[in-house]
Amino acid sequence: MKKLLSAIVASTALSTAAFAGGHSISEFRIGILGGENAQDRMTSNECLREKTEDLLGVPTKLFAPADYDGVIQGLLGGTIDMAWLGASGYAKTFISNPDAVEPILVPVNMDGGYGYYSIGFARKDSGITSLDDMKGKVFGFGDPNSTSGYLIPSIEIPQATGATMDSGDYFGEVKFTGGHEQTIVAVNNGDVDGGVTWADGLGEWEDGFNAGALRKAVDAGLVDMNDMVQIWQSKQIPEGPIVISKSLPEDVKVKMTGLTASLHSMDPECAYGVFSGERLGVMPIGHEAYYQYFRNAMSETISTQKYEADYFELIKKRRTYSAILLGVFVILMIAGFDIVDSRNAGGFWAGITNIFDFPGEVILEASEKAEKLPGLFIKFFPSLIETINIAAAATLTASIFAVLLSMLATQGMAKWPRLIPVFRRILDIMRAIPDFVIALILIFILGGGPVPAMIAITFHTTGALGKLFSEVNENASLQPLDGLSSVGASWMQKMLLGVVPQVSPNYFSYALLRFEINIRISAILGFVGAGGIGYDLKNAISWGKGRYDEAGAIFILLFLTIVIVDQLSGILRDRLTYGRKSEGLL
Amino acid sequence: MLRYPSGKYGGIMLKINNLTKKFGSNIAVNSVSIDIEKPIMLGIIGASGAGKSTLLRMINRLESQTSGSISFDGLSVSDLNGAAKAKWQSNCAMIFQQFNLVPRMDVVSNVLHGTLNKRSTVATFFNLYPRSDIHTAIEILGRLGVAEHAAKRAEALSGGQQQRVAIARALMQDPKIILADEPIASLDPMNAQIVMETLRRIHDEDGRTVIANLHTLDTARRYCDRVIGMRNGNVVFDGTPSELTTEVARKIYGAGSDFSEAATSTEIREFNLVSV
Repeated sequence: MKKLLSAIVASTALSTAAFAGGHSISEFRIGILGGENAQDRMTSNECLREKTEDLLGVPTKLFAPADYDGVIQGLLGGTIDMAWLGASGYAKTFISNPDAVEPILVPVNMDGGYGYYSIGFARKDSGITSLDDMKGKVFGFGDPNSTSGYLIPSIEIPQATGATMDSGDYFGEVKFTGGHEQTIVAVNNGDVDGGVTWADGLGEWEDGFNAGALRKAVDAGLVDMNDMVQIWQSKQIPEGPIVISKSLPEDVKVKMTGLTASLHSMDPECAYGVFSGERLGVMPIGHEAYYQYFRNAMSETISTQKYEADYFELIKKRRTYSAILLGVFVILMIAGFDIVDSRNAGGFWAGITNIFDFPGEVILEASEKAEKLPGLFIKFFPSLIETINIAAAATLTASIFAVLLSMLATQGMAKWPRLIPVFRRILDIMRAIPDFVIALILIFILGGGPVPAMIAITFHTTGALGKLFSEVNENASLQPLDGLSSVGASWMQKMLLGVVPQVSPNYFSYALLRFEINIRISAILGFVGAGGIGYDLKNAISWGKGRYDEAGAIFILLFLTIVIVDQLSGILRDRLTYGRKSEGLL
Repeated sequence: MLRYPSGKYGGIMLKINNLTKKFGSNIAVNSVSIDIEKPIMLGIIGASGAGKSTLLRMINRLESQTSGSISFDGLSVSDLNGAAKAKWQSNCAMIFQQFNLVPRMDVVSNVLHGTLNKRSTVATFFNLYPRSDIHTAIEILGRLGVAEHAAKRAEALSGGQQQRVAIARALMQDPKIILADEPIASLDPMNAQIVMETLRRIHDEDGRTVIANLHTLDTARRYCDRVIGMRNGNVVFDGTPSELTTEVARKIYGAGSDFSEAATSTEIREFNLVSV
């Protein structure tokens, strides 16, 4: 199999070398995970360093950081180009930056698989033979970032014991020795009662299995496996990948993949050192192989503490802002009250008791002459119609302008996107000038009557509705517009067929609301000579006592008008939104 | 993690008896009876409009039945009202096709919504949740692999991530049963696989019953212990995934002999590296 693999890799190398990237490298750096002491790690990888230097023709260096995180950070920071990681180490690297490295190869065990195990062990003479015997004892683990040395045991051991990994909960103490070799030595010396390390689970216990930290320790003469006993074994863990930095030139990646893949056939002794024991060889592997493993194991083990701390920080910040906002509000209220009160020259407190006097008088007189009210309704009805007429004509005209202007002022819909600010400002100006002021000027120029009132209301309403409509437009989906664009519709067609059906119920309800407001304004404009019911109201009120029944009748008429308009708008809006009454949705 | 044992009462956990739902003259669900004896992962398949969603919505009591009954562990679900109904809904989590998260709120707050049934309105108004609940929420997010997005707004997440947040919200309810209404219909195949595996996991690991409406046959075959096929409101198939043959599928979807499953399959088939 390995020969075939080498052949595949070699042919890949040949075919892709032609596409090698333009940039070149000045040195190549290989990272080696912890587990045994740095000198031993350097020694067992020296042969790989020499071969790499020969192949790439650039100085090649080995790095053996003290802990796993050193290699991970090196890969992330671009100071290490290639390393053999554990599955968790790869997961951590990938999660920190998915674009940092890519897995290329994985060492294959003697049985053809690429799984290994986390192995719990103790000294035979300690009498410990299972996890149960470890209760209350000192348990030694390797590096907290090691898959087999901590992460997998930290998930699977609590499942077996039903207790946490915290010191004192089940185990007397949980210690981190720093690496696999340290764990083995610590158990052998009796510094800890039991420990966890990794092995391929194949071969003989006496040899420390075919591959793994125990095998290395046996080879180094650190431990005699006959003194040891296995107390626990994890489920199979996928062997970690040999990863290479994604940013390397393509030809370097291909060459290093080829070299690593053929290492076993070229120099079995070198491969034995680099891949920690007897292997069948290596095989290509991609990110997908670890993907499942990430979610099942890593998602639980990657500490959520950091995210939790971040979140509490966020909440704290949010609460602080809320408190500040509340404080500002309270201060404004207090300060404002003081200013307003001093400006009022005492009139407010003196007058507040009389606030109901005027309505009281109107209601009193109107109720005394209640029998005259129907007659008054008939008398003022024509002026009411005039008032409503002004409002209706103005609202209708303004709506048409507003629809056009709002579309021109909405991002994504505007015919001339650059002119959006211009149309917005036009709407602002129209909205900013009170209709009352416009009416006064127009009446001064054109004389009294309904036409100036209508123009004034139209002008202001266009601004107000344009603003509201453009907000409705912003909530409309632009997808139908893309659909219509794709069949070659003109701007006008797109607006008419793509926007209007979506927004018309909202347009309609805003326009009716504005109609309601405009009836009131048109009535008020009557005060300044625009005619309609406002003129009659002004006369009634300024006459004072004696004609308050007329004022009352006009108020009632106006109130009824508003109620009717509101009811009508509700009914019409429902029709527009839902069409005929639906029979319920499946 | 909690495990829910199988039905305490007479071996039947969920019993749906002659359940019918009519909308006007339209019969959406027609006298459906389903018994679930122990926690399983149940898939419901069928064409659009077959009544799958209505069935799930009735189990959750989002919709009331026209006739028939639903009982869960001896509790007569179909008769519940008011607070008892709300309590049932908090025990019977729902996952939707469009995730139904609050887009402008952060992920953790969305997950914490799973505890609303236990919270007062005042506490909700000021967004006050016990620290322990926040801790649990983030742990669940961690379990589903989305803890790093804890502080982000829900709308900033991809569809697959949002659906996992929705599952986290469901888990926050600590439900006995999870109803998933087309949970993967809006997701690409990769994310669909993640979400389905997540649902399978919470069934396997926690012993919660999962009932999922599914669109594709291979998804039902791959993840479910039992599959129910519905057509026009009727149950037309109820069996194991292996019994779900192409012939049966034609019956469920009312398709002719030109119906080919492969044409609609979205499955990502495993590339077996070990046997290279």
